[in-house]
Amino acid sequence: MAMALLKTKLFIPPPPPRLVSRPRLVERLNEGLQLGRKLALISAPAGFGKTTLLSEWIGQVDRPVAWVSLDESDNDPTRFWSYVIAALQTVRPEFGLATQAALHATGTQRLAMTGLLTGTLNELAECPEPLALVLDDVHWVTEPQIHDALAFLVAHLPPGLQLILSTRADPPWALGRLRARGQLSELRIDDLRFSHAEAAAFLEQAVGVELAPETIATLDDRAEGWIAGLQMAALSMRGRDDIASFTAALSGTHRFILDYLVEEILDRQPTDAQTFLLQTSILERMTGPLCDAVTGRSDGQAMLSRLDRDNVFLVPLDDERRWYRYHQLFADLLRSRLSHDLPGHVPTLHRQASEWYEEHGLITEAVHHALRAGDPEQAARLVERDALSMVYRGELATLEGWLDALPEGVMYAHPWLCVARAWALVYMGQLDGVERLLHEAVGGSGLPADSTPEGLGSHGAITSPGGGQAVGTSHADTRRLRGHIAALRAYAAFLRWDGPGGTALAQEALAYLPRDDLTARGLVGMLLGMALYGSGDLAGAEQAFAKAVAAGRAAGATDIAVNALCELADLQVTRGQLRQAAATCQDALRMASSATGPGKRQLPIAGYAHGRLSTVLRERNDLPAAIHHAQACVALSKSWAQADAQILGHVFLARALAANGDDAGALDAIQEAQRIASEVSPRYGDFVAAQEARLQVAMGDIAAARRWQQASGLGADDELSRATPNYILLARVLLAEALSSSAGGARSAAGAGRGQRPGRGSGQVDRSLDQALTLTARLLDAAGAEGANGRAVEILSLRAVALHARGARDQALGALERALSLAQPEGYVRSFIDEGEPMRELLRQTASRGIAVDYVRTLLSALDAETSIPNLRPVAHPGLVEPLTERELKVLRLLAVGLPSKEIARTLVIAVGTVKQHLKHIYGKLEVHNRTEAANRAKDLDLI
Amino acid sequence: MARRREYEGKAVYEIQVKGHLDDRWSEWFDGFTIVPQADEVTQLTGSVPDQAALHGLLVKIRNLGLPLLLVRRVKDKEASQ
Repeated sequence: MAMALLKTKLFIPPPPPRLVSRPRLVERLNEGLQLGRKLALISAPAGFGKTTLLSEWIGQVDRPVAWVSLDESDNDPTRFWSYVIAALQTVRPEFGLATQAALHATGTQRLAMTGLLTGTLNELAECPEPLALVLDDVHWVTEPQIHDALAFLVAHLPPGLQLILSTRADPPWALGRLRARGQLSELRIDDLRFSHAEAAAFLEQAVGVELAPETIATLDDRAEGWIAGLQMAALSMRGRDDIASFTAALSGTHRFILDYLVEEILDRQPTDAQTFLLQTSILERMTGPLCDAVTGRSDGQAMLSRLDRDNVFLVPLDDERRWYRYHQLFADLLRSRLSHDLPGHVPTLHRQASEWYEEHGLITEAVHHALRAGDPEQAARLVERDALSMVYRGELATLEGWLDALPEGVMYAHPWLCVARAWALVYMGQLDGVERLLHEAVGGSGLPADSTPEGLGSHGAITSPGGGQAVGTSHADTRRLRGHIAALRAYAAFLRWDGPGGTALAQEALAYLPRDDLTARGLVGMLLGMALYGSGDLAGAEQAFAKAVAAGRAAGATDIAVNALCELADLQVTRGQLRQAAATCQDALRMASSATGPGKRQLPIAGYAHGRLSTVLRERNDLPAAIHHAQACVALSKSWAQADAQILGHVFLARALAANGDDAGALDAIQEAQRIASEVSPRYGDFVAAQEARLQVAMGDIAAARRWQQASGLGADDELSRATPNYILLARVLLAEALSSSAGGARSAAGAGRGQRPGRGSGQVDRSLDQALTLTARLLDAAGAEGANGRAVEILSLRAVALHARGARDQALGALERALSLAQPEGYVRSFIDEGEPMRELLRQTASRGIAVDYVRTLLSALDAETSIPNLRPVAHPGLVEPLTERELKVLRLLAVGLPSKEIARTLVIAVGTVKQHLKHIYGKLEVHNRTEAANRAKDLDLI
Repeated sequence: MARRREYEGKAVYEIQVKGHLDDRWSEWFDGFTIVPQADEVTQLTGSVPDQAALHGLLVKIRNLGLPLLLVRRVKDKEASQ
């Protein structure tokens, strides 16, 4: 589904045949390169030889150069970066395959542009040899998103890459900072202006005869080093025998020099050439047949060759000299004359160009000219043909630009335009206005409002059409339109967290969407799966995810397929199918690797798959692998700046590290997740807070877990329709509270072995235990009802421990036996051994009764291994028994520069209490007692 | 407090550039009136529907390489006189 790229835009223009060499400027550019400056900026008005200078510079430079000639249509992030990557691929064919795939994947908008760039930069940083990227005519780009990304690119440019921009307007970034840091080479108008000697050399070459010194002086005086002026003057003088009078007339007029000269040039052309120049000036690019279509003549190619030979401001766009464009300044001058001399012709010329482009399948250009022709109907017809594919390709900015250019009424009259715009809005998370567009789409198509398809219920069942048919639209098209309208409403419902509404709408969409609209079916299947999963219909969700995977795979929409696989894996974990979940994750990982060979890289979306796999591996107690995959999730999502995957990755990492006995590392990871979540959305904040409470209760900090409970507002008596993780956590907190206070700390269960506080009244303890028992019983029913066996395993383990604490031994063993029977075939380990000492006792008793003897023996030995080796992590520094975590190292560095705890907390965006906790750990690990000793010891050990 | 909206909509502007242009440029510059002044200065006067149109006009001036000397919003009172 890649977009069609014009190769001509990547073509490095050759230096013109008659060239005044400018060694001084070439040297300035080379110097910047040698000094390792990141950015070279050539900023000057039109006609000062920027592009020519660059092509001369490229002729002598010692590194490969990638080139993009930008124009008006590149003011779209997807297009812009597609061209940049395509340009880099002319130098390194394997470059950017992952970025490219990510750029075009559906739902790209979820991926921040800086994320995309970070991925690209990482790839560029790995490039062995230096290279230069030239962006010519950057002034066409005004889209802030592109400029933000370019500024980011410059700030993070790897050493081997130099960026060279030519532009008529300075880019809107903090250039002052780059200048101050010596990272910017600049050539500006006064550098580019021809010197007198250059002007003289240029004029003699260009006119082809020797000129009198006073003629040169006069011309140079008039043109003031403006190369376009000198070039046009030269062109006007060629073949003239009255050079002196021409020069006198030029110096005598006050007219804008180019205005005067273009008239001179046109007057000296034969009439047919004059008309040709004016008529074709409306074209951004020209080739013979296109010119013929516009002029209604047949001499296009011959005329272009002649103008090329006569050097009339024609820029070749390929080696074969088939495509050309006018020098932009010259084109503007011609267009201004055209609009004055033949104003009535302009729309016709554009219409003819639009038709030619349409016939040749170049829709972007066809739309451009249709809009310029003032023919919004034609433009709307063209856009409508391609609109949905543009959404799928992520060319949202271009689409929006076109739709903005249409009168509202015209857009509303074309239902597919309304649908495409609605998709663009939904992808960008802007729900306002979507319903209005869909309402108009319904109106424009002649569909009866509020119709519902019949025979809903089975997913994707084809039903009979629900109502009237639009005039001029086919039956199939009407159904497809209905499908998209429902899909959009389902998406909007999903974004509003309206599960039941989303389910019904997604089912309606699937009933209408044609079989071959795989991208839409995949996306809707995914939405349906999430909605059903959320409402507890696990079997329905599984089916929907499986269909989404198949559709996404068939459509080549990797994002959808991998996302659906990851959701499916999560669902399988919930249902207690660990083995299948592992296989699903592996499948997702395979799919999320781009291509093969040297360019093989993991797509950003692979982060989720790594994360999900980590949870499965942790449950099976394969901790090194669990940590590895959680780290891969973090690294990948970091390198693509995907906040949500980073949060998940840190949470999974925390859980894997905690299982491995690295409490400090786990807390660090959770804090990192919290930091990122606080930048993104409160929704993630709630999720991370629960995960932190989970860690805290396992570490015995029950007071903290209680605070979570109070903040979350969850109560043991709440009505439960589902066994959600937060209520399981609540049961865990209640149980830990009961255990920590009873029996004076003799027991260590639910991780409550450390930090327990005695002195709670036995009434409170009893109440907590009662609550834990009631809650687990209710949770168990709920889990059973929805078939959430994975959750049942955890609930049963907790319940067994709770029953045991109550002294109901047989019941406790019964619960455990049920858990074991669910867990054994899937290889669960952590759900048991995480419960610590009470679980050991229960497992022993179970074994003595001859139940699941081998499995129980495995669990017991895992539990023994856990307690006998206090620390499983390798020693990272020879001078340290226990290595410092990354976070501790940061705290240590800040401490060593003398920051007080409060300031350290502020810098790292963590609580002061947390800093103090870190300090305690640091002192322990460094075997010191205060800040000064810590700083000294850290220096001795070369830690900072 | 000055009201923003007042300055964002339709308004009359005067623009001065260096170099003489004749009326033939009027169509190119969105129907602005072109009046050459002394010192090779040309004044373009006309109405724009909004700020975006004004910036579009300034880009046209930039694209021709015409040095820009002045851009001024003409007060409603002046414009109606």
